[in-house]
Amino acid sequence: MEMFIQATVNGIIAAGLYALVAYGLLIVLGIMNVVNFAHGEFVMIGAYFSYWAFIATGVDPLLLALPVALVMFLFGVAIYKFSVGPVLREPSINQLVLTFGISLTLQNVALLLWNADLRSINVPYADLSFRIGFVDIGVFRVAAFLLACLSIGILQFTTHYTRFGKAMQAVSQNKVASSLVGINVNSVHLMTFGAAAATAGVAGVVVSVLMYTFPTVGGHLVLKAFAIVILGGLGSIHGTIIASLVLALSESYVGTYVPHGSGWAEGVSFLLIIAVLIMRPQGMFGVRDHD
Amino acid sequence: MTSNAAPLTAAAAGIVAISALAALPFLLDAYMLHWAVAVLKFVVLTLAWDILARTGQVSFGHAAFFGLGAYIAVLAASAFGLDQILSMLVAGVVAAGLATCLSALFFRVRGIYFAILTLAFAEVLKVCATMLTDITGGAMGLSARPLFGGDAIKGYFFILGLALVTIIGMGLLSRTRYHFGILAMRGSPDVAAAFGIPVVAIRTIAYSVSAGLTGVVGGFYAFYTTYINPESAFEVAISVAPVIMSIFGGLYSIAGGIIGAVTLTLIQEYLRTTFEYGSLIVYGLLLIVSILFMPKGVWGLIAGLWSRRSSKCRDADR
Repeated sequence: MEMFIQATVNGIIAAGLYALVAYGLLIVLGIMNVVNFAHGEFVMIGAYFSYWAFIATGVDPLLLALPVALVMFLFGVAIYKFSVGPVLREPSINQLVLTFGISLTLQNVALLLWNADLRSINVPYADLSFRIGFVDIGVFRVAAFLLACLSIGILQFTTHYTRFGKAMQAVSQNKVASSLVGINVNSVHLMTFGAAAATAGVAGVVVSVLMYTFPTVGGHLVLKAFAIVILGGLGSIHGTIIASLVLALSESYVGTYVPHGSGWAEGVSFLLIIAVLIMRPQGMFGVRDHD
Repeated sequence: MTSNAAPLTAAAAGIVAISALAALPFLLDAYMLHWAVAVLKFVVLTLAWDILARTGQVSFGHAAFFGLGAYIAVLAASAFGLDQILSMLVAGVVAAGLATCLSALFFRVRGIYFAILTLAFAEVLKVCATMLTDITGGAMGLSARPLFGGDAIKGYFFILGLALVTIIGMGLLSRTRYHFGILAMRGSPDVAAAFGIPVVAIRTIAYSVSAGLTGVVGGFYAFYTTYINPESAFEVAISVAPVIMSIFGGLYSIAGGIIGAVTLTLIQEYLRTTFEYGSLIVYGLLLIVSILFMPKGVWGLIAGLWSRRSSKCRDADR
């Protein structure tokens, strides 16, 4: 029982991170119809920013989330301006290959510059934890989880209750009609890509705290985020959150209960991708328009 | 007159090229011969990948068939005592068979979703290869006896033969009416099906042939390097390389595939020893540059210049 609760808590904390990464992928896919393979590398760069900033200043990495998000926003805008933006009208496979190229470049430049070492952050209160029933929960991990939830909340609020968010929704539904009513579609794309990169930056901060920072960390995460987006379907944050919980909890249970589980747990997300795409291509929740 | 001369010139060029390729292993030292084998290996992988791409489906997971072929070949040779050439063929047949079964499931989605599906499938096989330690040796991997007793020249001729079979097969295909069926499918599978083109059959066969060739190359790789493990056999770079080589050289064309495979393999082999991670960085940058500035690849540029020149000549004649 104790093991079960511990596995559940770990799963929920991981789900927060997964949902945040998946959200960034989701808004770019939903609004621009681009699968951004480089999203994982944005997360990785965010994690390194957080790590180096912590080493240099000693400031709590969770407080660094805002500056990291700002830097990553600008980074995302630059990537959009010079690469993704110009090919938006081309076949979707070109954009996939392009973002794959960006991902490959960033990942290997990171390996070259910072080598494959696992780096971790040790804050003074890392050992602090509280007990609920039989399980110990680290304060730091909960704080990271709350940061992820807060970011998702802010994004949710922005897309639903602001003028710009309404413009984003309009563009995701119909680009031509949006431009006819005076929405600058190009700037919506630009801001969306920047915002996605900013969330990746925050996710990077969470990664640097919850896990280790290393050059291929984003590659692992982005495939899980794909699984979540595919499972949750486009256009519904509820789907994304439920899918994140499904993936994170099943990984956690497989890791806990199956012999040699941590090895098999890696495969859970891929099996989910395959099963969902084959059986229910529109996702479990919400509808996907034809590709 | 010119219309009769063109095939003759092509045939002469082909004969010269083949005799040069046949003489090559006797002119090169062992190290350069290894480069030649690597180049031919990627020529086959790239063209095999392109067979599927021609039907409009882009795979990001051909490492699945490569790795499967590598493991099947090694296991067939060690557990059942099969001859090495036969083991490689068995590997190809198993990979093709798997692709035939998968096509019923995988072709339910298109475009980016198909790409992600294939990527995920390759990763699942990698996890299986790592975890099924009784059969695959787990992360420790398997070792194989060297190909043809370590005779590099025989190895070269085997992969050269495979490359020629692939090139000639694809060349002959482009003279049949199926070539036009495939062209139509790529534009719109639904419209092609409405015109009576056997879309499902063509796609299934293309996927199986593509996977089968990749499986044979996987088996070749296993014997050639004498050691495989899940990381090397199901390496993402194996899935990515044919995509990059095709796009850089020029999609949907034999010449483009060869140009891409030769250029990028030489760059990769050079950088492997001189600049760590360099080859993957170059891969990434070339992908970006190709998509942004020359989406039809090097061959597209050459063909474009060629047709502009010949149309100028025609204008001058008038």
